[in-house]
Amino acid sequence: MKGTYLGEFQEIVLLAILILEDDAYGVRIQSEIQTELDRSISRGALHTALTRLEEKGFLQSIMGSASKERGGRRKRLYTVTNMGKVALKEAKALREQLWSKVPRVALNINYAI
Amino acid sequence: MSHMIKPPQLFAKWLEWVCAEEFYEELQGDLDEAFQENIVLYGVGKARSIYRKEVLLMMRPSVIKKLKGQFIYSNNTDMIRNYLKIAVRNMLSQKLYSFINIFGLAVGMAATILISLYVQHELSYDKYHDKADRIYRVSREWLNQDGESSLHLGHIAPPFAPLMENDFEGVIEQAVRLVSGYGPIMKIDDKQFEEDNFFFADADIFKVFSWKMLKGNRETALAEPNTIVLSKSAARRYFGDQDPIGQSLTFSNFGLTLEMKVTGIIEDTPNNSHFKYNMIASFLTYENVVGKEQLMQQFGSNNFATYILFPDQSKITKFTEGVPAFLDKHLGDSRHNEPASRTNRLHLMPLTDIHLHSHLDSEIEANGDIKYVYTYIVIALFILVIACINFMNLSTARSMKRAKEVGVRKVMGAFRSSLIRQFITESILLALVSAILAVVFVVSVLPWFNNFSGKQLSLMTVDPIFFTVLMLAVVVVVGLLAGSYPAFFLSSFTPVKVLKGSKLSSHKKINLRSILVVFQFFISICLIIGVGVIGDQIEYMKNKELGFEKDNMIVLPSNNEIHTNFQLIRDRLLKQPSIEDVTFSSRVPSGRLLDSQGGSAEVNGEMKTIDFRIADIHVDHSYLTTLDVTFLAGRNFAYELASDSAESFILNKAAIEGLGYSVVEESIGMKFNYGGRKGHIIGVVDDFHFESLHQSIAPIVFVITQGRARNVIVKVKPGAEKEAADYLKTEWTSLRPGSTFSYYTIGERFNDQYEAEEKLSELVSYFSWLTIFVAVLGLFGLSSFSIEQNLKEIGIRKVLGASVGNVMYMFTRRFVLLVLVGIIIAIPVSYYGMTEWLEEFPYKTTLQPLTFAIGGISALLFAIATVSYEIIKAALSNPVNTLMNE
Repeated sequence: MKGTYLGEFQEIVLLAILILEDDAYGVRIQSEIQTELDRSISRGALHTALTRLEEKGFLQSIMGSASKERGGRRKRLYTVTNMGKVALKEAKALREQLWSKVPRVALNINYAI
Repeated sequence: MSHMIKPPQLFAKWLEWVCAEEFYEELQGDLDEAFQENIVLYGVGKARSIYRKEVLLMMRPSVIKKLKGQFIYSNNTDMIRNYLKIAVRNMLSQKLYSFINIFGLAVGMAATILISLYVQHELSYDKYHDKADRIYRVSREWLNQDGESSLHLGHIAPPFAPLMENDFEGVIEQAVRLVSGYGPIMKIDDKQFEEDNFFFADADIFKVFSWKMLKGNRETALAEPNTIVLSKSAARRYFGDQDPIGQSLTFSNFGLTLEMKVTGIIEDTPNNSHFKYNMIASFLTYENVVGKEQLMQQFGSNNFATYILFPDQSKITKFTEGVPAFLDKHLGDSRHNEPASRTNRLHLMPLTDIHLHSHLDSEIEANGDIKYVYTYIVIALFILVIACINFMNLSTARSMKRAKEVGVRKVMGAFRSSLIRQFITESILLALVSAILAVVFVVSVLPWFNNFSGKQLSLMTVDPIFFTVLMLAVVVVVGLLAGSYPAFFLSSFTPVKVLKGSKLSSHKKINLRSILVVFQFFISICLIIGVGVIGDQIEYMKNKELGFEKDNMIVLPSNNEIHTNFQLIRDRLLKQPSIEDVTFSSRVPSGRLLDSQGGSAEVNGEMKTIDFRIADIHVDHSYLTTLDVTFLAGRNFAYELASDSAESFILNKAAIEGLGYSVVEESIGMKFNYGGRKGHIIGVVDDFHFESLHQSIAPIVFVITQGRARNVIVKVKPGAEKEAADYLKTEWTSLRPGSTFSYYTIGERFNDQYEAEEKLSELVSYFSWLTIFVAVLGLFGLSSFSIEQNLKEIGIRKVLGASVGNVMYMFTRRFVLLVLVGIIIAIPVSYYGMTEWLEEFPYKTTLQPLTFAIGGISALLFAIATVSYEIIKAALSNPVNTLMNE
């Protein structure tokens, strides 16, 4: 199921959009990821991820309002579709399933070599 | 925030231009919003740089407009795309031919680029000076009674420059002198070097030449005595990273020691200068040593390179017109109350011409030669033409195979013009690939070429835009030329004929392709013969009997101390078993004969003024015996006769004949006056080659003068050179403390004179191999193609009983005939060309038939070898395989 596969970065983007609720557009998503994960991403890279997610049907977008700071240009607001939510949940479940199988001992951090 | 700061507009515009329509609004909006936030957070500067970075990171496929949408779809673009596709498929389907085609052309282009770089460098000499077009060098020519030139020096006497500045006020702006320091030893603390490129120069030198002054003042650096300006690398040699300004260097030469203060640093001599400097000391230093009054009298000391800067070009005629009167005024009446301007001339040569056009009897450094530049240009063009011919030939031959394609295209409605366009597109594409390959070749062989030519050429020095435009122009021209023949030829086919499969007339006896092959081989053979003749001439010059003993002669520098104690030193050296004889002289064979004076001689009972130039050599008693020169009459100088060292002269045969004696013996005992000495002729020696074989044998007089012998010549026992050199090294280090021990042998020095010819021969031989290579490559392509076309014919012939030999003969004959025609044309042309080249040498080899034979036969062998490979393969093949399918 190639179409529903979620990349790590794409997963983060989807989660950020869910966190931002009604205010999920480019700059907000970018700064959310930057502050929460302390990870610098470019707007261009984010754009690629958003387009890809929209192509897969995980995202929907509508054009929102304009403002003066934006030079009178409108923003594109994103919402996660049901399909997107399913994919997120699946990804989470998959991970938890894997976590549950890891033996406790293996998680002990070894400092000695 | 009523007034908003705008993001960097250039980047904003750029984004607007490249960003896909559907995303532009949101993206630009987001960037602007982030920008305004960043101004608050980090300030304007940081915000701008973030903005720029963001725009640059936008350059990704998901953001940028799809290129397709940019152009309006048209049939033309589709057709061009189709042409390119077919061209690439064609190239790939016939790898061998494409390779031969591209590789051959690339080699040709690479050779041409290389030679162009070289030529461009040769032509750029001294042009970097701001005032280059107004700077002229003055040279001095002496004429004999008949008005013929007897000597022409690139250096003139020291009083001329100041006198000119005085007499031609307003006509000339500056006149500056440069005189060599003759390799002084420069020293600071424990660092000392012998400086070859050391000059004394007038303070105004930097007003005339525009070398960059890195430290110090251009105007005043050489205004004081005992000041010196160093080149950047010389400064580093002595002072490392320290600041040299104000420090002192100790100069020692001519038995003189001076402290010189460093007052400036100039750039190293640019590679394209007709002379190179390491150090320039102030002329006043020199003047103080010699004495100003003295210097202004030395009209005979022509060692000063003199350059004039004119305020503008129009003043030059005024100067030349004034020169005769100027000479008469200052040189006075030389003899017979004749005006000095009758026997003396001053010539001007533009600074930028010196490197390629000046070949005087003295130059600061050996110059290049415009003739060699022309030769190289011609060779470059030859190679390019040969490569183009190959390209054309192969394209034409290959295109035969595509007659069907042409037929189909025509049936489908292609115009002739579009077919022509197709073939030209194809050949331009091939030429483009070759050009790229050629640049790769050039870059990879440049280090080797630089090493060989002693230049520092680089593609970097060429203006990249100019170079690209030039290369593209060459690609288009070659593509058009090479593509046009097949284009016009093929597009003329009638579709019915080619599609029916009737055979195209490729069997015409004389067609363009044959002519081109003949031409290629003609050029290659000419070059091979040229290499042969140049080699013959070098061999001839190296092996010719010179008339004296040149082997086992070691030449050493001398100084005052050696002069004064010469007899003692000589006796000491002679005790060494490895040393046969020792002598000293002002000039050493292999050098030039530049000194001469006037005089008179007794001929037929009366004193006659000598009206031609007799060069003088100042020697000691044993000079002529050491060199083992043949005496035709009279005797050598004798130690016992005190008069011999003051009033005896020995002349060579050329001088005696010049005086008018038909029998040399008659001249013995005749009165002879020369350069203020009065005496008699005591001996006549046979002519021998004192100078290199580029010069005819000059009249020479030998006189004994103690003080003027600058060189010590040691004759070594054969085979004992190393032993003698070791001994001489210890001896000379104690005699000339501080200087490095160096010597040369006369034999070596003679051979060094032919370096220019050897370089030429080496270069021409490389390029002639290259042309042969390219020509053979073309022939290989052509012959294998022709075999491929005629495989069936070979098969049928074999079935009908032809032997392998028969088949081979049939196919080889055609190509061999072409090469033979090439040979037949090449021989007379190269005979004429090489006779012209040899004209310049007074002593020349005869043109040997063998050289011509070698040129022709080697080309023929190469041709046969290449052609037969494919032919043998075809002739040996089983006819069944070729005739199997029809």
